[in-house]
Amino acid sequence: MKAALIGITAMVAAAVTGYTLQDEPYRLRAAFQAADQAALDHRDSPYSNITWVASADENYLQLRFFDRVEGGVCLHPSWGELIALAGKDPHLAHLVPKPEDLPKLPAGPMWPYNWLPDPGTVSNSAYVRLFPAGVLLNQKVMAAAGGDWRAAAPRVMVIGLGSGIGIATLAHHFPKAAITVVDIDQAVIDMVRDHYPLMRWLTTQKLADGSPRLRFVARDARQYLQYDATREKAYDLIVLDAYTSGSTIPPHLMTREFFAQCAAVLDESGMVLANVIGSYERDPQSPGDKRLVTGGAVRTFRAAGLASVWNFPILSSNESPGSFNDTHQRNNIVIASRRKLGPHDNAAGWDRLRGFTLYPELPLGTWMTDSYILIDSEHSRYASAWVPASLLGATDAKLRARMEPEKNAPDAMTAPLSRRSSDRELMDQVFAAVAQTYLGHHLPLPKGWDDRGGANALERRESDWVAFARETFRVSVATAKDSNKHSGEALTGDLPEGRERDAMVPNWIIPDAPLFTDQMPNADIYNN
Amino acid sequence: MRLPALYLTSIICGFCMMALEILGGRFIQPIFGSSIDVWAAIISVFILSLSIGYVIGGRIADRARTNQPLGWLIIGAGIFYCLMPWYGTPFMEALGESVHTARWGVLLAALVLYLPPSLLLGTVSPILVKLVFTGADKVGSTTGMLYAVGSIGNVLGILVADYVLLKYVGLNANIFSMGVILGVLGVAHLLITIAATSPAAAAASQAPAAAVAVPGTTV
Repeated sequence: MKAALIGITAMVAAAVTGYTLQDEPYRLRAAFQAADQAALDHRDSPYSNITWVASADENYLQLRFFDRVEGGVCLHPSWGELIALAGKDPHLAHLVPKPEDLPKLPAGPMWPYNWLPDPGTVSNSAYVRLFPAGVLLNQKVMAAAGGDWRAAAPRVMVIGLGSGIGIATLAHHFPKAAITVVDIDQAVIDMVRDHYPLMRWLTTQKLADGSPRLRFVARDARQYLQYDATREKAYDLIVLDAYTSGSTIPPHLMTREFFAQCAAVLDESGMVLANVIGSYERDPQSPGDKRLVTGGAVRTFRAAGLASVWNFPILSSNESPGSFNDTHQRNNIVIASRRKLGPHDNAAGWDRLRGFTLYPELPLGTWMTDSYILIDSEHSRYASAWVPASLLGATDAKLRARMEPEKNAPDAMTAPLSRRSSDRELMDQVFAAVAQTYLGHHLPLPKGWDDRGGANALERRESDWVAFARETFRVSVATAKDSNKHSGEALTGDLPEGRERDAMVPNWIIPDAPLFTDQMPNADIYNN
Repeated sequence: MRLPALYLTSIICGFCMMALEILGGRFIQPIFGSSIDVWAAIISVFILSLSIGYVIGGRIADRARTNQPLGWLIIGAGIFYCLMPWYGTPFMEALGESVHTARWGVLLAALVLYLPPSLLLGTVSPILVKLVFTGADKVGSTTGMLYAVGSIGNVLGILVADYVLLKYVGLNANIFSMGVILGVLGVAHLLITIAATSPAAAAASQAPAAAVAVPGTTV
């Protein structure tokens, strides 16, 4: 009896302790993001935990898996702002709903209960800005449209939905595209359809042949390709953008067999465009070896019969084609096709890429954000999270005046505009202002802003989101065009003899690139 | 009543063990992702803890005269389950910050989080073998039945966790509730004494428990 009493006491004590002290369900540690808690209450997917997070200060709406970003949409220009602009530029007419067509919002409590964001088509994630390249390089689709991308009518399949911004970008530039989105998680589709009004509206819009501009399919991509897509008309573009948490590719969606399934439903001149997170060279400071992911994707595409492969590394804003860092882990847009893709073989395609302007109807200088970040300039790394400049109030204008705009290399991105300083006093002021603002709101300091030890410089970045998007496209295309260094042959070390081979050999060849097969589907292992 | 009570114990412990394995994957995901490394770590830790648990449980069983040690071990597991919602996530976050290789980080996390409770549940089987033992003539059928029941508990734990619990109950609440159930079970064993068959009888029956294969490891 005594033993039972002790047992009961111990059990009750543990239960009370565990219950009262239990860790709250995941909460965002960032500050000043709209409706955080309401969004978190919306985590209802049985498959994965997903939430929308909005920050008006930093101009983004993101679909997140816990704290991992799954995709980012600029809050501004909003869809409403695009509709207003359409009055001046008829090229935006394909984004204007009739009043009776305005999306009907689902019944019941709305996220975030008192405010529904109305995002437009401008991407907050850099790699998405390269999606149009998958259509522009397609000689057959573009020729049928007389070279005018607005008249192009590609059949597009997108595998992996995320926030939907990639689809919005495609729908913006290709009004006649028929887009099928395949995602394994119905909850993600519901989140996008219910909280991204433009997406919901696109699913109701019909093309000339009666097919919808956008449709969602909740299915595993392998199953869809094997059982459904084979009975449909051939596709002109398949976009592979399926990721699980972080930067892990579902391994069955990066194998020779899967790519062959893609090739089987592609038009003869169609292409696959894959978002591949990886590097070109091993980063000595990082434990993983992400170049094997990049190299593996390229090699696997070639083994699956999509023999012509070209990679567009997505440059970050402080890089230029001349200062391309081959150890840097980045998003890569790998495009693979049966038709020759290179600048020599597909000169017209590359001319279109060079002449292309993202969001040409949108004015510059209208949708800007300013932020501060601490830098460990010795290792040229960011040492903190971004903090919106608006939080610093009047102090910001004074600090800005004391920072010189950074002089970029001539071939670097001109947007966003960076100002750097290693002035101790200036850093102290920003540091104190951030601490005051956050602690004043009883909020934990954002990452890196509690200790200035590792930081020896400060950056203030002014981002014009439309200009940023255009520059990412321009600079990434300019980088990829650099002789033959980003072709599948160059990346996996199969450059043909002769043809000025030595001049074309890059220093980042990946000769040990793995071949991913259904027997060795290991893209996720190298991606850790 | 003696055998059904012991079978019920086996089924509940088997259920909680495998449900924790399934839920444990989801518990780790926010910090360490959902790659195959996560499952490799979790499965290896559960099997390892079973193996250690069998050895320890076997030694305890040899000395046990009643089901009282069983009650304490199940309460111990219940306490870990109840406290996990408290220390689990903060611990993993600290680990994620300090161990930069995801592969080792997740293995360490799985060891610290899941080894103690599953080890304690692993000790249950050998002790139950001793308790269900009534004589050499029935040792095969009673232990066989015990393992079968325990494995059914495992299967239910996996399927119910995946098909039902994940969908309708939060992770913390899930793990916590299983802790409470284990606690109640453990206390019941302290309150209701079940005596093992006497050592003399056991000796006469040529020590059958020694050669028994491991139960409950089917993953």
